[in-house]
Amino acid sequence: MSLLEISGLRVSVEEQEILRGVDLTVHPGEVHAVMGPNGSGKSTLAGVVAGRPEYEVVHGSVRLDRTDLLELSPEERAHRGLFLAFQYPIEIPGVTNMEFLKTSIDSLREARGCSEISAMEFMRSVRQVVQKLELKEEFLKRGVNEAFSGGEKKRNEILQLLTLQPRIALLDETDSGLDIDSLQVVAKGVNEFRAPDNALLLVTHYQRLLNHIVPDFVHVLIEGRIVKSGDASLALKLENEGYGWLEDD
Amino acid sequence: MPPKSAVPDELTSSFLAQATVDRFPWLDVDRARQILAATGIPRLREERWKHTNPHTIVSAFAPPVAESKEDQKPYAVDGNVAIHSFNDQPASEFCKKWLGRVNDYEQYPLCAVNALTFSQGYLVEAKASENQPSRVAIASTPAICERFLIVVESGASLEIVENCGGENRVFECIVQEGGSLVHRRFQSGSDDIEYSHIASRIDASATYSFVQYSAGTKLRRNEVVVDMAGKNANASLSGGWRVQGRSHLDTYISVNHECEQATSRQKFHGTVHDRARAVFNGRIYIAKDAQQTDAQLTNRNILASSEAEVYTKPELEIYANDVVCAHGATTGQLDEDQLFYLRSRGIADEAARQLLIKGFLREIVEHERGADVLDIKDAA
Repeated sequence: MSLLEISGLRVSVEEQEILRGVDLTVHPGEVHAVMGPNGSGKSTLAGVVAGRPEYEVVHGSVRLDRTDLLELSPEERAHRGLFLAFQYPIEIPGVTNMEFLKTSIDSLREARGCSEISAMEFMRSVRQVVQKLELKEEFLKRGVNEAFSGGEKKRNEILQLLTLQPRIALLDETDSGLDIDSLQVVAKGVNEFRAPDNALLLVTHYQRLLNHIVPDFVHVLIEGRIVKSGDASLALKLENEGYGWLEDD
Repeated sequence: MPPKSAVPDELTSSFLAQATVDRFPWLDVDRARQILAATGIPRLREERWKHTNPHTIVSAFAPPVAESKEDQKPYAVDGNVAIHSFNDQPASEFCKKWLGRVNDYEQYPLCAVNALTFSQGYLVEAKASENQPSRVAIASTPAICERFLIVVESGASLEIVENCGGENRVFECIVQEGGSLVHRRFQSGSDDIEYSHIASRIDASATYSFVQYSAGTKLRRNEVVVDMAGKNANASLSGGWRVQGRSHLDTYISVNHECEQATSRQKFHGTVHDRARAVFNGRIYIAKDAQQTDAQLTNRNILASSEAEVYTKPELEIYANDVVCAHGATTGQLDEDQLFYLRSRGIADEAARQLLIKGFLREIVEHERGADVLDIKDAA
């Protein structure tokens, strides 16, 4: 049974059609990469699945475990196990990372009918993740993404990924703005997340992230359509030859 | 201020007529009376009263009550600080010298009303000490109109904690050379009409820190006027408000740089909910001789409901040519990107809004009591 099923998805932003019929099916345990040149609609795809308000869905459906996500609010999508790692994580001064994470966990638990996580259990699980991502514990006391470096922001997204344990994670350009050390830490975190019952959808311009997180499937998105799908070798071919040979088709 | 009509209105007359001489034998009320007779009580829409009706405030001032002979001591003191009721002999000499000297009755005629009506007054005198800063906590007094004269002597440090509102409360503060005054004010919500005025004079190398947290009341006007009177004087004014229901909060701040090389900061954040209204007027005045002044002012407001109202007006008046001065005021809704970020993590819309409001107010709260007043205590 599919975990995420996108069919015939057409999406407009300010009257301009950005996605022009996207079909994509992700099964549990799989890693998919969506690649494409700038402006091809990659971030729109991630945003519309997560429920960003500025998009207008013209046609099609997005199902998670057979539930139509497009009918749901962003928080309800998260409750059902969807997670978006932002390309540009948002700064929220005055709200600590710790409070943000705990409120998030408690919201997800509440949606499942569970009680709040105890402070001790929360700290124990978050601390483990913080160490894995080579962060200092002080990181939790800072304002959400406030004055974080590019690498810290991306690590913070992965911290949330590992703490919230979604069923499917969309990673939007997670490798952008990362130095090589941070890239390795982030990739290690993402690989740690991988499990037979969850899935990943990586949206990326470059192949470099895929050296560290090897995808099962690679799709090429050009002008709002998936024009080619293949295995990990397709990403390498794109790295060597660019997108031109596909655009000419 | 231009002179008003020769015949004072009824409300003004009622205060001019009040017998006040028997309160404090040494108190000279003639000056206040003359000024009030000339200016009258300001009217709504006058420059400093665009959105708050001063007549509503003044009408709520009850007539003066006789001073209770029993000293109820509505304060607690710690450190090298003396506090005297205006009834006491030591206070009278000081008051004769200082009272009404820092406070400008012509510009702020409600202070003249206070001078004519206050029934309780306290002199707080902080002396230099090698120990921790002295501390005075002010609780509510039985009086309707109150007056405080705060003198921080050269080199002394004083912290004032004000835990209650007053219907008509005027402070005059003098921070002498090298002295330090911290004034923390916590205004909880109530159904009252409250007016307060603080007039502070900061001498050379003295520091002044004023922090104010306010919840909404039926109507509240807070005025803070600071005179930067000496070289290297330093003033920091900050605070926040969270007003709800139908409350009305009006904050008027004026920092006057009269002397060169002084520094001042104003930073205020507020959230306005339901059908409440917040008014902020922040002024920086830099006189011709106040060269190398460094002054900043920011006021940020969040409108948390479509029926809430914010009126904010930063004002700069600069006559010196070698200054660093910045000001800014913003009013808006919660940030959509921040909201989406929280919601994408499973936090419901309303909870996400509450969290963002908390965060916004926490940026200016550095004190636990402030978090109490603004209802933004830590959840985690």
